Amino acid sequence: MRPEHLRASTVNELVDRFKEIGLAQDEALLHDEISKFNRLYDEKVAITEELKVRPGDQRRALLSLYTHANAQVRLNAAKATLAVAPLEARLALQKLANSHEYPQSGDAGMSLVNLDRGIFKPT
Amino acid sequence: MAHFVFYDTPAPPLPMEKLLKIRSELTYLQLELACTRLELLLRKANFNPNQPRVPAGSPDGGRWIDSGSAGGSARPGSIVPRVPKPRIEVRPRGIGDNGGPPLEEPPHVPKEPPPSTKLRNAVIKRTAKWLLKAAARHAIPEVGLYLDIIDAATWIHDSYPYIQAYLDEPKSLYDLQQAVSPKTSAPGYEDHHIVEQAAAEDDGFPRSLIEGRDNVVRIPVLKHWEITGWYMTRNDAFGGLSPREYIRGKDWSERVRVGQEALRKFGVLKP
Repeated sequence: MRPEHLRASTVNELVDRFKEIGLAQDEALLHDEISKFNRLYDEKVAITEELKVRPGDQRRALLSLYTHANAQVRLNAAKATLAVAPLEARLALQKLANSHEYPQSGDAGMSLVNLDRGIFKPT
Repeated sequence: MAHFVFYDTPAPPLPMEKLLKIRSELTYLQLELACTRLELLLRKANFNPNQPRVPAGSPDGGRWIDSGSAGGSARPGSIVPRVPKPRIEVRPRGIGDNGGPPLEEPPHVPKEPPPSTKLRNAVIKRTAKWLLKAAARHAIPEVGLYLDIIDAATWIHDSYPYIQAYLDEPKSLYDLQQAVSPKTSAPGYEDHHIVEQAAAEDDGFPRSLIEGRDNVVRIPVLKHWEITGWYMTRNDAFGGLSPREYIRGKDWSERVRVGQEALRKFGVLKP
């Protein structure tokens, strides 16, 4: 998504695209497409930043994705909302870490370790 | 509306000749039914009347012997030991409620193998992932039904060791290290370096340390792939770097810590 499209999108459209990115990243991992995953990561960061600068910090809109069926969508949403909803986001990461949905469970567990060690500093 | 007709006088008796004919036809039909049943049973047992037998006079005289044809181990009276059909064993994991969303439908396993390794691996990974999730939710009836379905796709049977290994409970570091042997290989398992070897070598750590007994563990192949993929993908939890980029320039102990934590969080190493 180009920067001008990001700025022109509604919050709902940004949340929808954020969700699509999670689904595409999950497929990329399944097919060992690491470069594709990382390209999608950049787009995900851009969407999160766009939501952050919207009045009132609209990253909270991503909380609606905590219950999504796909583990990568939940993982991305939990990490992106740690700064605006730390308790809920940590709980979402803990649930995912316990869910045996690998590799996302492993990533969620490592995210919690890095939060506790101060390596992961959500802003 | 239904209409019923009642006869107030009994039907006239049939002549003896006609009764005998009906009985004869009935007997013939019963015989035909019995023959059909027998044929079905013999087909089910792979019976082959031309299959060689042990000659009369020997202790096993008259019994069938293996004629060398495929699947010849399941014939009646065979003296060749039966080869067990490959099967995945799934045991319930954890407490049975992980708080996640409901278990989704199991992934489709095509009867014919997908045309590329990449696509075949994707089916194998999906299958293993779903079985592990179902085991964690104690969805054993669903698992049983699914195993029956994937048993029909014979191409995937070669991958059963990979799927079975993926379902392993976490092990101790000692057990994972002890399993490493340069002389033996175990289907479904691969040797994994706790501290990633390429990055460590680039940073000048000696091969003796990288290949040291403490640094190599034998883990399920599919877990190995997951952890390697995780090391290569960019991650918010590492400041937007991939874990592999994050550990560059770090000392050995920090690399060991990340490597062991990853094994724990990916369900390979006991907490």
